[in-house]
Amino acid sequence: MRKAIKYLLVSTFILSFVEIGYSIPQFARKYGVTCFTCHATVPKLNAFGNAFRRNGFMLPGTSDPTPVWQQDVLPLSGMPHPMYMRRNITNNMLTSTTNGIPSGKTLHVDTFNSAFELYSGGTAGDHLSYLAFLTIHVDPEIEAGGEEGGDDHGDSGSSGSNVASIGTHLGTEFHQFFIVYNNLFSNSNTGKMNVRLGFFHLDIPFMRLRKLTTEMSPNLVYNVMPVNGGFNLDRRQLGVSAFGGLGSMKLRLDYEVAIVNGTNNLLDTNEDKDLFIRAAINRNDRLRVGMLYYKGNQNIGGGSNLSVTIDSFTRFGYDVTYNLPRGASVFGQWLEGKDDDIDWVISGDQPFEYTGGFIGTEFPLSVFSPQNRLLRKIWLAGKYDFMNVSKQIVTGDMMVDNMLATNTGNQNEIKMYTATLRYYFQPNVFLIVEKGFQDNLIGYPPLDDMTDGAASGAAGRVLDVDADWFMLMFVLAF
Amino acid sequence: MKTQIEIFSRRSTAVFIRTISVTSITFILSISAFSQEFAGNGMSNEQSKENIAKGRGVYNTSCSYCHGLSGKGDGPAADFLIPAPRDFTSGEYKYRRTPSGELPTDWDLFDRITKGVHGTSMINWADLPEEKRWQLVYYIKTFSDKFKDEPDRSVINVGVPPEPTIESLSRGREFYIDAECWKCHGLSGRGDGPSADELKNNKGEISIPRDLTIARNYGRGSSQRAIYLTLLSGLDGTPMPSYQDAFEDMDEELWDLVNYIYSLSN
Ligand code: HEC
Ligand code: HEC
Repeated sequence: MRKAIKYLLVSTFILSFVEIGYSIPQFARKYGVTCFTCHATVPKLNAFGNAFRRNGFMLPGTSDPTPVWQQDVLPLSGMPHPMYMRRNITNNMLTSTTNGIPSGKTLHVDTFNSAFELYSGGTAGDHLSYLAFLTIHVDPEIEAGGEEGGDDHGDSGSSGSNVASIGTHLGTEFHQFFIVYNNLFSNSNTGKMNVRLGFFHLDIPFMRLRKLTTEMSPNLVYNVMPVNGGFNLDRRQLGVSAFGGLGSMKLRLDYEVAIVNGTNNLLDTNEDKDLFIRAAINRNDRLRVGMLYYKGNQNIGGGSNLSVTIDSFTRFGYDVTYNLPRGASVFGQWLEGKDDDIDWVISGDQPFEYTGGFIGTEFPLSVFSPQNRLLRKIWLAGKYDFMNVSKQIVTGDMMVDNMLATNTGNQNEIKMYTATLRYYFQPNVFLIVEKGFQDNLIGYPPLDDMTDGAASGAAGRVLDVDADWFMLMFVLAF
Repeated sequence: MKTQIEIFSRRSTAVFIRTISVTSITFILSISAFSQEFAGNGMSNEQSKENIAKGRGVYNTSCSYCHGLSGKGDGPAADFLIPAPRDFTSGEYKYRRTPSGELPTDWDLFDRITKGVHGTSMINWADLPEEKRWQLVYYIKTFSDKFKDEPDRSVINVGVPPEPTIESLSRGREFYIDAECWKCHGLSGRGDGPSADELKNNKGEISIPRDLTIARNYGRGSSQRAIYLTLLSGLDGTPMPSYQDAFEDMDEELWDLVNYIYSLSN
């Protein structure tokens, strides 16, 4: 572990002296401009960045039919981001969790993880653009163990007995890969209507890739999974969508209508397709008010019979964002989720319903003193997630034991607090420090995926298990 | 076409000037501005009401995110930009061929929109058709009253850059020290001089002296001619002054300095 921190600090130290210059990654290089052209701060897009994206990675109002391979810029960017994380998970229930944390004990997980993203995007010919986003993951070292605390229940704390070191993981994954046909019915070159096909992230209001808090702090209401299925609103989907922006900067309607397969994987579980609708009104690109609707079906039982749909579910929400001058923003999301049957093991329907959302803010410290150069390099993000699960699994399966055995009775509330600080050595070289706390989890954290706050082993009800984390991440985009 | 007329008039005056400058060894000359009036000649690039209106449409879709719908440089994407997008209502421009304090010519604006400002977030808009770029020029002029009566503008003549010999470079280095360029740009030209951290533009915003050792960082481009123009015209509104008076009657010396700066990045 210490090795990891040392490595991180040394690389941070070295890189803060490296001359990166102004123009990085691919798009910035192509146009010879700074990252701030499109980003309020990396990775958060500003109004111009959004306009550029809407127009298929071309300047708003222009078209550029030259495919990237005929341009004199290498169409490739990379982003290594090694990190260190310590996560503590405390089981407040009367019995052990099924992943082995005894009652009353805290599990500490130290993770050093190194991921590397490669991305490429741009124009692929007249009206055509593409984006490809590949992640290479290396988790060389996960040390878990060292339970402590609690006295009267469970076996006495033999440190690290239940959970051993987890070893090295290596994986590659296409996060996104899609092709867009831009400006379908008009030559306005402003992205009034585009159609995309492939693996993409739905245009939900607060995307994982654009927020300043880390993956440890997922937007919870987007990430509620049925017991045996897998569905996250803010992860890649395979499908086709029409999206764009109608109107002008003064007043614009941004929208997306998508038909997707409804899992976050390549393979679907059933024949029914899912529907996603997003609409948001933008006023001067300062105020945005929007709604989203998702209607999905899944055969959470797995199996080979694709004509079976077990769970039909909806997500419906409102959101608002206000971009204040000097780079600050405040935002909020409200969302309601309904699943009609989230567990195929238990006979009969097991409905599940929740409401919740999050509010947050992201701002550079220079809002207090705009011409202070040091303060411009420091960004803060704070987020509060809340969720109330009114209908959850109460019978059957392993859930029953845990529910009956909680210390504090029936649990149905989840709260999560996240505070993030980002220090930008350069617009494209930065350090992230994050501290977070989550009161109650939904499902068990899977031991082999501790660096993803949204991952849960088996969901279906709220558990009296708390988690907090501290993470340090170093990011270099080039 | 407007462009052709302008280039033509520039060329003829340039020839005229070179003749004088050879005899009188002056390096800068005012040239009476070419006419800005093309009203009614039926060309698509003329400064007409119709083209101004069209320019407005282009501006609103392409430029307003940064420069703001009202041209004040306060668009929603401008919040965090250094340097900030130009406030077109001020009528003050950095990249001109005209002496410090004067308005840019239409060609200057057209050229800047076409080439962008390297190293900032001002993109080059060469992907816009030429016609639209001219319409933009006419439209952004309407933000400032200073352009109203199209006051005469004089254009600095650049001439032909001399060979950068070793002697020329070492003389240039001396001027770099004597003229105190190093105070802002640093002894090695990396933009890290003693006063670099305190510089503000005339709106009180952070102003960062350029790192002169990286060619792609030059807003105007890193050619000898571009550097020459920067030194004579100054970058109005920023702490980067015009050296027109300092190098009055010292054209050769100025070229020495230009050659030295040029050598830093090439
Ligand atoms: C992404 C933000 C952005 C967009 C979009 C943008 N500009 Fe700019 N523009 C800037 C910035 C920043 C500067 C200041 C550069 C500097 O001071 O070096 C600037 C400067 C300028 C200048 C002045 C250069 C000088 O000599 O002072 C002109 C003219 C200009 N822009 C025109 C346009 C036009 C026309 C458009 C639309 C086609 C446009 N800009 C779109 C950011 C932008
Ligand atoms: C008072 C501080 C100051 C002094 C003295 C100064 N500069 Fe600058 N210079 C600046 C600043 C600030 C900029 C950048 C302005 C901007 O683009 O916002 C600049 C920009 C430049 C540029 C870049 C133009 C471009 O295309 O981007 C050149 C070349 C340059 N200076 C050369 C010189 C030389 C040569 C001298 C001495 C004769 C000098 N400067 C003296 C502050 C200074």
